[in-house]
Amino acid sequence: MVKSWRQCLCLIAAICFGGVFSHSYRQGASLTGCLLLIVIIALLAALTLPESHQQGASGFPAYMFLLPMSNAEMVVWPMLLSAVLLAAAGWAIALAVLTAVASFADTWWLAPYLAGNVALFQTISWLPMKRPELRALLAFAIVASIVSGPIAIGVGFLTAVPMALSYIAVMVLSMVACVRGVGRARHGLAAVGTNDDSYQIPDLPRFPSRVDSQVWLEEKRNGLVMKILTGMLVGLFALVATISVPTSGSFTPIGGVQVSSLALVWASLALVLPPYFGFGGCCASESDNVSKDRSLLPFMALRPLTTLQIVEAKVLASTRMALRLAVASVGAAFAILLLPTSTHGPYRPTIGALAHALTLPQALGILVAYGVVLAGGIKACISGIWSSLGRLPIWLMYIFAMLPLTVISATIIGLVTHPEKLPAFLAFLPNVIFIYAGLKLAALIPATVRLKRSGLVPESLVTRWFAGCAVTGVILFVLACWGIPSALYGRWAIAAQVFVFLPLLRVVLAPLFVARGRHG
Amino acid sequence: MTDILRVEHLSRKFGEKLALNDVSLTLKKGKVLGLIGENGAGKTTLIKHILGLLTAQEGSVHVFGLNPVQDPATVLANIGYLAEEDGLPSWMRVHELQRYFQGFYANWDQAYAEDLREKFRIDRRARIGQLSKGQRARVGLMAALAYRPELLLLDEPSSGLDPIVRREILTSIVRAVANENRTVLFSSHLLSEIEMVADEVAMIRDGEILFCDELDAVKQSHRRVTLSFDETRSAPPNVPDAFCWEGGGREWRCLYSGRTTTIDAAAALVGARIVEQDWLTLDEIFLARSGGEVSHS
Repeated sequence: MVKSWRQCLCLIAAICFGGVFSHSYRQGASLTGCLLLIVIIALLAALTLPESHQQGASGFPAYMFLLPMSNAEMVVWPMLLSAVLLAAAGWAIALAVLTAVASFADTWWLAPYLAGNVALFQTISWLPMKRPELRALLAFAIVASIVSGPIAIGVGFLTAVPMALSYIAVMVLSMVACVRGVGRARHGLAAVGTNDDSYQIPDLPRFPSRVDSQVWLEEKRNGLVMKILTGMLVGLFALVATISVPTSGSFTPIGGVQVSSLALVWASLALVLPPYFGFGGCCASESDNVSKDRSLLPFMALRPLTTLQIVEAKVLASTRMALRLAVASVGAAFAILLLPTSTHGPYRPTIGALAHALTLPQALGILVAYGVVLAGGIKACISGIWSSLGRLPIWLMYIFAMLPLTVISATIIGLVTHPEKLPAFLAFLPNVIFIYAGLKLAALIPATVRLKRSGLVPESLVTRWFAGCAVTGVILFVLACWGIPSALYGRWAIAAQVFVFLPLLRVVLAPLFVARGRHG
Repeated sequence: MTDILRVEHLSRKFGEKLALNDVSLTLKKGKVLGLIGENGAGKTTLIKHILGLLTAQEGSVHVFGLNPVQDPATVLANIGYLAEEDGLPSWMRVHELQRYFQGFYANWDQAYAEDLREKFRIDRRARIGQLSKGQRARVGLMAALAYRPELLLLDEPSSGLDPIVRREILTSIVRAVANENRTVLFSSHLLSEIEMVADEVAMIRDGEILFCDELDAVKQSHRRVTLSFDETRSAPPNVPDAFCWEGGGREWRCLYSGRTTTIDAAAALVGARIVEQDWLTLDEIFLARSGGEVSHS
């Protein structure tokens, strides 16, 4: 009954979402519309989050509770230190990126912006939550703040001074909240809600085989992280595309019809995510499979499976996850193609230019589907953040969540304020992918040498794996040449192929790494 | 009797540190072997080799006649393992862990698993991360026992268990396993436990096996001996197999790990008389062999 009620709420919210979405474009108020959508999605996510992810305990390091210092000293100093250090580092990196993409002299506001967001991350992580749903809402507010802050500056919605002042105020308020909240957690005064009492054990059959057991573990273990990453990126792509596509004047003639180039680029990037994160998740890099302290490898290594069976389970779980994530990504890509080609004049979606015409029921249906899919992706993202908060170290959250978002946001400002730089940026982007791919491939060389020395894997097997890599690469290249329109063909096609190819390399090399990690 | 475990001349280095040095060990079916040693002596490294989690750099390890690195699926299907650090995934619920393990082990006995879980008073719905250290150790023990493995490896299992579980459950389970003609290798600091359940005992120090024998034989071969000399001595005499000398003047005490006839002859050779002999407990043997001081009763 509860589940049905939630599904109904989900549907209603999705319809509202679609309505607001289309309305915001008709009014030409894309930024306001986006912010409103964020609130609706956050509410939707909070309503539909699964109980198992509800964790409300404080994430403040418990060992610090025993230090001989007051609550204020215990909380404020780490917050100040991390704010200053991370803001300085983030600012330096952003400056370097901005200098490479476009010329920006006035970037001082990035320092309080970064410090304020770090403080917000610390606050939601450290505050004990009686209602853990609040943590999800706050988490989403931070992501929205990181993304929309620079965009608001870029489009002239805000100036630097009030923005900087507001983030300084956020930092101060965060510290006050953390001193109180962590103090309550320290002395056992915080009531943390758990729903375990209502948990019902499902009646599930025995796994038919050892590999099936292992697949279940892999999916449980990696599925959440993959959902976080894909949800964040799909949501981000949709958000950025929502703002950038209608304001872009770049078109590509395809079949005699002018198609929005930017919409095609963003849609393609969204579609790349499922194979990338799906496969990359289980068959992760050497550090994930070998590092005995951080991963579950010791636990898995003790199961009666051959190393190849462990990898088989990883590949099966990866494939299933990739397929599931594809639902969100295909939806997001489709939605991006629905965006109007311009904020001026009548509503003309990119996909309309491709299909020549869309009927009203079709358009409404697509909007509702988009709402559901996007809400699903972002919900997954929030549920992931929710369950991770309180466990992830702040610096890790900063590196994996905030810094990339900051760099992407800064790049977007550059493109929004200097649209003439877009062709140069698009031409430059494949270079970044090539450098990334080169670094990843170079890292395989010492790893393979070490594995060969260890004698755990026969040389013929290593040769076969590398041959498999080469064949996979050629097939992907042919597919890219065949599938990508000739107008975009060339460097982009090769870059896309390389990008998709990398996680498949991980799959191919996983047995080597697992064998090494398992048998020391 | 079949050799369940055979370790021959096993050596392992971590960088420059020699963790295991020419270790040889055999374990017969149905026996309980207690492995004792200080922290960092090499107990866990040896157990990891038995599990195939480390590859032998020199020497060999055979479990059920198989190499655990070459044939992990067969070997691990018949080993139950419980370590001090349980390594169980904190996000998993107890019933999920049961189901996950059930998929791997054809012999998994769900009724027995439930029996153990109820005995250990663990909620099936609980997440492992929300359990106390002792409760997690009980869950680990349940998971290690429920498929009735041929070889049970317990690496410092008692650290997280309270005295009741230690004495009444763990030791009785270990004995029950041995009575079913299955085999146990049990490493522990709590030597009283080893004395209660072990048939054989092996001591490891700095990566070397100092002794490995039947428990009674080990205890009978270690004693405290007091020697009396006619003349005052400034240094202890040189007696083979004697160590931990103390005393002075005409009376010296030592710990002796050889045969009775040998100490008698050695004492006569250095001009001394044996005035007192005491048997040592396993605790005292461990302390003496570890270089610690042994109190005089």
